[in-house]
Order: sequence, then C-alpha cells, then structure tokens
Amino acid sequence: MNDKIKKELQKIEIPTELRERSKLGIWKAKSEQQKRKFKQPLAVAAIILGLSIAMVGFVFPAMASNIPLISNIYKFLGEELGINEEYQENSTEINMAQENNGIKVTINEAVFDGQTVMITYSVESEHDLGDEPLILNLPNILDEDAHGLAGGSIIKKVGGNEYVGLMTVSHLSEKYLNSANIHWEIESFTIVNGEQNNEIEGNWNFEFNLEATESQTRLIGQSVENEGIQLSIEEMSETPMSFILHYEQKLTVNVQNNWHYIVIDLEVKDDLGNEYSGVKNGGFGSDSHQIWSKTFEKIQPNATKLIVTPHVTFKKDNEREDIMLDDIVIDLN
Amino acid sequence: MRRLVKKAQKGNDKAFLKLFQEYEEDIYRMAYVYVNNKDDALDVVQEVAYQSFKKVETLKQPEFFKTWLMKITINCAINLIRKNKKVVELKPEFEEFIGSEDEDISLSLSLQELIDTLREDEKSVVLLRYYHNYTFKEISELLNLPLGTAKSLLYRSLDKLRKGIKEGDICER
Repeated sequence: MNDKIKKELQKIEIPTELRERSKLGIWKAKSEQQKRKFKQPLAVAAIILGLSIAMVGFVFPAMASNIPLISNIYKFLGEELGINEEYQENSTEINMAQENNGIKVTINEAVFDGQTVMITYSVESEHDLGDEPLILNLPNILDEDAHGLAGGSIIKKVGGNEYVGLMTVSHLSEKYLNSANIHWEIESFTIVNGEQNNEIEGNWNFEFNLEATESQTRLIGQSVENEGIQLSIEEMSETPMSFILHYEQKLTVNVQNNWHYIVIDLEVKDDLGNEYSGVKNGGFGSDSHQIWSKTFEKIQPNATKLIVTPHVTFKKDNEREDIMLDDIVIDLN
Repeated sequence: MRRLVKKAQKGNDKAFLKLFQEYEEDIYRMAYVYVNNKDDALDVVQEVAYQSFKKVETLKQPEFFKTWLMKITINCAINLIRKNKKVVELKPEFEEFIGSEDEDISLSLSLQELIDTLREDEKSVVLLRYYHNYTFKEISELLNLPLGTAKSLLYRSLDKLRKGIKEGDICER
C-alpha cells in the first residue's frame, strides 16, 4: 500500500516554477519582518537612501545611464541569486521599453557569461501590482546549442507602483556560447495577494543579442568516487565576475535502486579560507548520468587553489544520508 | 538539520530556504492531492513557505520540522479548497466504522481515484500514513484527532478506495 500511494504521487509532475514559488513565499514573510525591524533609525536611513537612488532612475529614464540605477538593482536584488556588483561593470546597456495595458516594462541592462543571462528591468504601472508581481514567462535563449533552460527571478517594489527586477536564465548545455539571442515575451503580470491571484494580461515583447563576456576555460578532468557515485569536474570557466564549474555525476544501478533521489552539490573554498557560495544553474541527463554546472562569485585575487568538496545527499522516504566525497583541488596557477 | 532550523529561527532566510527546499516537492504533491490542479497546488506551496517562515521561531523541537510543515500544508490546502468553494463545510459527526481493518488494498489504485474518492480528512490520514509513514499515534497528534478516529478514517478510506465509491455517492456535502 505504501508503495502504491508513493508511486501514484510520484506521477504528479513537479512544475518548473515550484522553487520560485517557495522563494516568493519566504521572501514575502521576510519583507514583512524587515518592515517591522526598520523601526530602528539607522536601518531606516539606509533604506531610504537606497530607494531614493533607485527612484531617481524612474523619474528621468532618459538619463538612466547618468544615474547609478543599475548598480542598485544588482545591489538590491542580486545577493539571493548569487550576483554581485561586478556583473554591472560587465553589463551591456539595453534600454528597451514596451508599454501595454498601463504597464511599462524597461529592460535596463543585461550580461551573459556564456552560460547564464542576467537581465535587470524596471516596471512602471498605472495599477498597483502588489508587493511582488509574478512574471511567469522566462526569457528564452534562441540559439540552437542552448537546449534546456533554468532560471531565477526576483522583483521588488521601490515606490508608488514602481518595481525593479532581476531575471537570470541559464542554458544547460555543456557548450560555452559566444553570444546569445534573447527573446523575452511577457504575457502577464500576476498579482499575488495571499488568498487570490489576479492577472493583468498584455504583451511586452523584447528581443536582443548579447555578446558573452570574456571567458577563460581550463580543463580540469578530475574525478572522485565513493559508494557507487562518480563525480567528475570537467571544466572551469572564469569570467570577469564569476567562475563556473562544469561537472558530471554517474551513479551505479545499485545506488539508483537503493535511493529515490540523489543530489550532489559542490562546496568550494580557497586556500586562504574564503568560502564561495554559488548558485546551481541546473542540469540534464538520465538517472545514471547527469551534467550540471554551478556559478560562483569571483575568485579572490590572492588565492592559488580551490578546494571543492562534493556533498552528496541520498533520500528515500523518511531516510536521508549525507556523505562528503574526497576533495578535488584545483590549482589556479 | 537542527543547525539549519536554529539558523532559520534567528531569521536566516537562506537557511530556511535550504530546509524548505528539501520538502517542497512533497508539499506540492500533497497539496495537489487536495486541490487537484497545478495552479492551486503552487499557491499552497507559496502560502506554506510564507506561513512557515513567519512562524518558524515558534517551533520548539527542530526534529519535528517536517511534521510541522506537513501540518501547515494540510491546513493551507484545506483552507484554499474552502475558500474556492465559498461554503462552510460542517464537520461530520464522528461515525464508527464497521468494516475490515485490513490495511492491504488489492485493487489497483490510481492517483485520480485517490483525489476524487476521498474527503479531505480522509486524504490527510491516507497521505500521512502511506506517503509519510507516520504511526496512528503521530497522525492523531498531528491532526488533533482521537486515535480511534484516525484509525476509523483510514479504514473507511481504504474501504472506499476498494469499492471505488465517490464521495457524492455516499453522503451529501
């Protein structure tokens, strides 16, 4: 009986936006907590300063390049998506705007590291769209080699009916792309209102091309193995704002049969003790062989080695087991 | 896990997200069985994330994090159904189940049958017992039900599933 119910429930497909919705719920609770905390004068001063800089950008959109608006979008929103201000220095100004149904969407800047596109945008609306309107349409990378997409998004109200947002989308292929054709067609804004959602439909259609930032790829080709799991780090790409590890996981039939699912994450630190948190870009493949990538912050200048510890989590029903595979050391010199 | 719960209780949203993501697929699938569509099930997940992060500091025993999340999930899913129906459902009087106490089910069971055949309280018991492997004692504590009621609900659910009777066939709501 247990197995029957479990098997039946496994048939319920997990939608791609699940993770995003979990984040939205937590974000909503956190922002309410922060509102309460900001009764302290110092915190209030900091947030007012931040908001006023961001809002100036809306008042003078034509002068956007003269105002540090974008750096504030990265600064404001980037942390959760593992994006730092260095992305701004390497961004391309897009400044494309579309207005429909009383909502104006402007793509401000975008950057592509060969794997992931990051887009900053702003929204000015005649209607109140709530605290965090939801855009369910992900940007698409149109290139042939860019099969499979995964992304993250965050949007925040910065004043009246004005919002700034950051959207990331990664292609999952192993290939580094020199440029990306981006097509982002927004079909609606969903106003999340706790109990019920309202939707404002329209069409905000953007298409643009981005050259990838400079990138250096080094072959790593190191692997570790334990308990029927083989993990290989194939390549590392370094961009001016990040580094990306490309890795493969192989599982024996035995391991697959013993557990319902197995997740491998990479924990990275350097020889100076700095830790890199990073964000997984997603992966693809079969149960036995999967290819993943994960993007980390820029390497600290004096570091000479990266120490990568693969963290494996096995799960089955209520059971969970965690093991660490042997470290993989990447020499940076 | 204990460490992550402690961090989350201090307001660390990243720690909480990490914890929550361990269970988000279970939460989604549980919710789906109640609401029977993707959009509402996603709404439930978001609401569970919202409520649980807001209340996590009230959780006294970190080892019960999962149980606590499941309880919130069941409440959110049932609340959403009630809101959508816009009717107040009267809690049925406790009825003694007379029938087999056999937990085995011989017929082939489909997801849709599970969704269509069982009442919400029956779904809760079946999911907790068979999807999460809780004992009757744990289920009765989690759902605030007497132990006997939890057992009755389960056996009645199994009986319904065996017979494939739809809710509308046996009582009016």
